[in-house]
Amino acid sequence: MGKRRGRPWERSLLCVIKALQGHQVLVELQNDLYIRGLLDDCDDAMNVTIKDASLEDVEGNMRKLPLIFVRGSNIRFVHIPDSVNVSDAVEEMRLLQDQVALAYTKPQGGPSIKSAQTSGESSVVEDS
Amino acid sequence: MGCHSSYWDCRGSLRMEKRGCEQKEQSDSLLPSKEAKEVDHIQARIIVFDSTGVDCAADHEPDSTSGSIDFFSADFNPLKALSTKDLAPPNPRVRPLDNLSACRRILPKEVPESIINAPAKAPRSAESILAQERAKAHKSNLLKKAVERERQTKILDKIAEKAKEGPIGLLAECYQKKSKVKVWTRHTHGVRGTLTGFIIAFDKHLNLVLRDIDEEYSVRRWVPRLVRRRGRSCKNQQVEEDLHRQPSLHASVQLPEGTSQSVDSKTDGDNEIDDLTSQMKELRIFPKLEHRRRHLKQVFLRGDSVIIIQKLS
Repeated sequence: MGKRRGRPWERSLLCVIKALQGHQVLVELQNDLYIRGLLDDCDDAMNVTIKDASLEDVEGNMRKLPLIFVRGSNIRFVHIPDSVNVSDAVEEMRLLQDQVALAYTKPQGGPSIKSAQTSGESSVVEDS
Repeated sequence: MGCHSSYWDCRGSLRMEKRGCEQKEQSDSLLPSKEAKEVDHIQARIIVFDSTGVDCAADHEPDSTSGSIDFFSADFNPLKALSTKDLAPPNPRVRPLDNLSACRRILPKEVPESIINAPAKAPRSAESILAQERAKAHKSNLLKKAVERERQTKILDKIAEKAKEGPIGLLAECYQKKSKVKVWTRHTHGVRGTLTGFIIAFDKHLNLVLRDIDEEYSVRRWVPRLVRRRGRSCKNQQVEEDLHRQPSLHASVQLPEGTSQSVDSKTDGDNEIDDLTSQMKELRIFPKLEHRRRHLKQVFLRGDSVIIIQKLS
């Protein structure tokens, strides 16, 4: 069924990159360029924007760039910080996306105000 | 009265006639159901047709000759009445009912077809109510479980289900058994190197998340060298420094080269001049493959760099 397919990035390991949003990562490109910075955003083609990046090449020349966009096909590695558990991060991201989807589709921020309170969500519910 | 309403419409719906002549009210519509109790006092006559015009009631005679055409007589023959020309029902402006049950509701209880005589619906037994509740609960549980299951297995379900068959099934096996794996990677011009580690996640593109990795790889660098015109390469101290300089982010250890690189320092001035004039060195840039090794804790590898994945027993 078309509706059951879910989010496109959840069908491949793109969800891992999505889950790493906001983390400090080291991206190694196919041309041996290293970019260390804060992973800002990722899209379906693994295109990535990195904030406060420092770019280093094979020879060791370093450059600082406030915002960099990398085309997904150029990425070879994304070095994940050791503290991040990949499957947990992915599940968290999933939950977050579900909550966001609920908040935007239903009026009053969720199926019912009661359930929102019992699940301990922050007040997305507003009374207009 | 010139016009008489046709007594039955094509649906064969029910008409109810009552002795309206004695009634003071000249209402054209039939009594609403709340006044049905008044009907008890009035002898009602029901004429029931089906769509083919055949009288459904058993005691009426099927032919159109017998019986009377008096609407209030016990012998009323509807077929005969229909075939009689210019016969108008006593109250031609009666409002027709939609279906049989509408009529049954306003019939008095003397008439067997009345809804009052209908057997009361047996109240649902406690068992059937329980059974229904159980079914509902079961269904909602199933739905919840389905949602939970969908939620639970995320990376797992993508890979395990979509990758059970075929060559990629080997990857699924390595993932489930958490066996050590050696991945051969490529760069634009050939094999880059190998990564040895454990698969945490994979997908159909062969994107991998690996843990506890030993990587042996080669980096292509363009290195200036002093070269004799005749083509024999010669080392220079300046070049040595370039070779050994490691960029900070790479954090890798250079593997010792097979051939040792010794520095020829020609202290003897005469020899140097001789060398320069006779050998005619020039600085050229050569591609050089540097082999490096490093240890990584966690890495996401994009699938298009993968050549081979080898399962290590």
